[in-house]
Amino acid sequence: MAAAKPLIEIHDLIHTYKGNGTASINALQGISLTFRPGEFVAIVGANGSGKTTLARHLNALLLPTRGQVLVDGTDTRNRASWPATRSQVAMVFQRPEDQIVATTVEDDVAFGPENLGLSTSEIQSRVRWALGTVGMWDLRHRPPHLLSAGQQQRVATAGALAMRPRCLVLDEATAMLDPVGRRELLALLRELHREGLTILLITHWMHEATLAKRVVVLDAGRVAFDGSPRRLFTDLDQLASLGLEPPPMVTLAAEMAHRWPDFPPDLLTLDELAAALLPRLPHDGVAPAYYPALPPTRDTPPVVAVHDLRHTYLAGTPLATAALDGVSLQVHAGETVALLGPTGSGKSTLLQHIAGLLQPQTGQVLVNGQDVNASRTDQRDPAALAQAGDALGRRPVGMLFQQPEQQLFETYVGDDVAFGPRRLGLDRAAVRERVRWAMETAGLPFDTYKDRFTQSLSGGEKRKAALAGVLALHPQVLLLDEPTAGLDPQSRRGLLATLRHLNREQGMTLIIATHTMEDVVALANRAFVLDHGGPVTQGTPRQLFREPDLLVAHGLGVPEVTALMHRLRAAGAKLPADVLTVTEAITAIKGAPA
Amino acid sequence: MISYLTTGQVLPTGSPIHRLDPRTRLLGFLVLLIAFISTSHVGPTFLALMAVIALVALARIPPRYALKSLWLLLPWLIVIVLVQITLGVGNAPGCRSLLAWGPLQLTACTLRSALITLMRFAGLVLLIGLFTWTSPIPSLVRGLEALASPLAWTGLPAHELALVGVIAVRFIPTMALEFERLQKAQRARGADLGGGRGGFLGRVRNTLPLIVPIFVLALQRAERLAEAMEARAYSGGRGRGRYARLHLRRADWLALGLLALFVIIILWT
Repeated sequence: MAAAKPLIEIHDLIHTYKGNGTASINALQGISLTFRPGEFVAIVGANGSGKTTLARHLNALLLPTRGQVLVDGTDTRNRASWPATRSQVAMVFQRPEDQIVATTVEDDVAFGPENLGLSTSEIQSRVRWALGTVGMWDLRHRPPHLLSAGQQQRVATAGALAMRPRCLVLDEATAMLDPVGRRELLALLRELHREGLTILLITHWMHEATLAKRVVVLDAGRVAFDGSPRRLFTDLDQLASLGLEPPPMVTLAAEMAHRWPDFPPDLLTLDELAAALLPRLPHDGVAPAYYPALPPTRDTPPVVAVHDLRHTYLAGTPLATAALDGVSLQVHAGETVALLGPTGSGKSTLLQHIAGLLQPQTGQVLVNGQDVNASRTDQRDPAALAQAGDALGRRPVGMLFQQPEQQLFETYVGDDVAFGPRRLGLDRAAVRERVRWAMETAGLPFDTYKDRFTQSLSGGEKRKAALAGVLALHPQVLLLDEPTAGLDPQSRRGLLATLRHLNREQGMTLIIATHTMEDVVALANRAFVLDHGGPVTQGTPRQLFREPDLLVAHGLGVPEVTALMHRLRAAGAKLPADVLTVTEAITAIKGAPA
Repeated sequence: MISYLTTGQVLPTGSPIHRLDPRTRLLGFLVLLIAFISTSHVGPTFLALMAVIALVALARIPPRYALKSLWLLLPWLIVIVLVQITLGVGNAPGCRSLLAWGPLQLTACTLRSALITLMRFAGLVLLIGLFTWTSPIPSLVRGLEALASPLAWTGLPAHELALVGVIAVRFIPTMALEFERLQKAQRARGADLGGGRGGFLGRVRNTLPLIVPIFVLALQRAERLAEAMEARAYSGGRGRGRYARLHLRRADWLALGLLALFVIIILWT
């Protein structure tokens, strides 16, 4: 094993992107790494640390400015060996839909082997094997746009596997997936690794890095750490100095060492922690201790009321699909309500009805007691005008769509944010005040950013600008569709803080469609679970997380801490079932009688 | 928005027509198309129409679904036929007059020509419908590539053209969705209030600024797609393997035989 010939060798790699004019960016500043066959390596680092640039050097998509990259002993500068290099080191990219070339699943998987010039029978057997491995053979005739993001990502993985690579590089391939998609992809990677494939997993998420046998941390284009995840994550000071956040299990384990001096110091995973905690906790089989449930209802009248809403796409054709099937929901002023559900559960459709962008086929949507669709029928109707904006120029409902950074349409940031207020007919000074407030609230200083080109902003900044564009309408109710999807941990924390501020300080009512349980814990006072367009359950996050099995059955999950507590309870430990955060878990475990 | 994409969508009924080799379907489509356009006699037009109707039935397309496409064009058909009769299209000296009203004259020739127009339009609409209902684009592209590949010596880049076609078709739904989302995002931000300047012009004015982001998105997407293709060792059409070989089966030979028979009958009459 130790003598295995290196698969990829990187010697003092420097990569410089030529900027406009004089500015040029050193993305990689002297990296030396060796990857051996059969390794499972996680490559982590903050935005701009050079992860993605490094990945593109591994199969000659980029060539070194200086230094050398050898794949199986061949220099990537050797153009003639590119097909061989690319079939040995295959890649899966971040955006599922942008790497699928063909119009059906099977044709797409065949694309790589076809490029290698293989015989028809060999291509067919590879396609069958690759689709079988990722569990997509039954959907081989589907067009890719009818697949979920998770399924698309598995197709992309099959497309890479069909090249029969020795190494698979995944560049933030889980970022756009829902919990099921993510779980399935990670399980697939572990299985492929067991079968001997080398895996290089590039990720923002530390808990994904704990799956690997080795972690490489990049910081400003240099290798800042290279070693086992255990060594990285159990040294909390070092982790902080690298700007990384410890996974929840590691934080918990560190605290346990204060409670029990003999507690093992290097635990990483839920399984390990459960095994170490169980013998230390009392097992007296007493009834579960729940946190007292907060009354979910409020005295204020509902701002949003949805009654028995139904919506079918392509109604009346053989392709009709029910997106909403009898949904009722009430949201009171000042609440933060999470709409939970896997991809395709009808969350977005419901939000669009509340925003008045879709008309109910049956049922009713009331905002402030007014039928949302009155505005469509007659613009001069007083009720419609109230819908459009009250005397103070407030819109009752604002909506931030999925990946809102793709929906900026003005040239300058300030103009884009001002689009809504201008349509409300406000005067110049008022528009300016609105834009200033909205941009500052969203976290973009007005004077610095108002004259920037929208297309020159970074992804995280664009998302802030898009949020500001909606906030500038001063909505009473803000609808957000997957607001944190695809964000790196730092941007995500910033956005969650902004939303909390809007709700707690500005009294804005929030309705958030999401599949990220951590967002629910951080923000929501109530959650509503949808699946296949129908209601599943609702309650406070605490109530929902008492039944993790129900959530998992509907394509969701619970935070890792909650899962740990359920594991311990199932084994007989006397612990509360509705723990949401690491802090609560620490209190609960420390408070348990020894 | 998605609903307009269903016009011309494949109806997978699994009929013998659906199972034909794409090349057979393409050839049949072309022959019938030429038959409809080139003949000017009642007999062959009627024969071609009957053939299309038989094929629609054989493809197990629900009759109501098939008639819906005709129904939409019916007003146009009526107008065309009325205009033809008024202008006396097809009139020739020696035609028997059936009706005369002032300068307007209905002759047997005019009537016959109107009848041909009627059958020709109905037949073409059904034929085009039948073709789209039974031909998934990927197999169609493969068929086109195979039919065009003998022309490679003329310098026709059959593979590249086919790939361009595939990618275009692949991303039409994605871009339509994207455009729809942009429009909705704009509407959610008050675009439909218009400040009293709504209507058609207002809509045009609202759509224009969306063109820039749509192009930016398409270019970014193209860049990522190109990278993904390169990562999968794509380097042009030369030396590529092929996932699916097209095979002409017995049903195809039978269909081609019937097609040849049809051509002979048409030419003969």
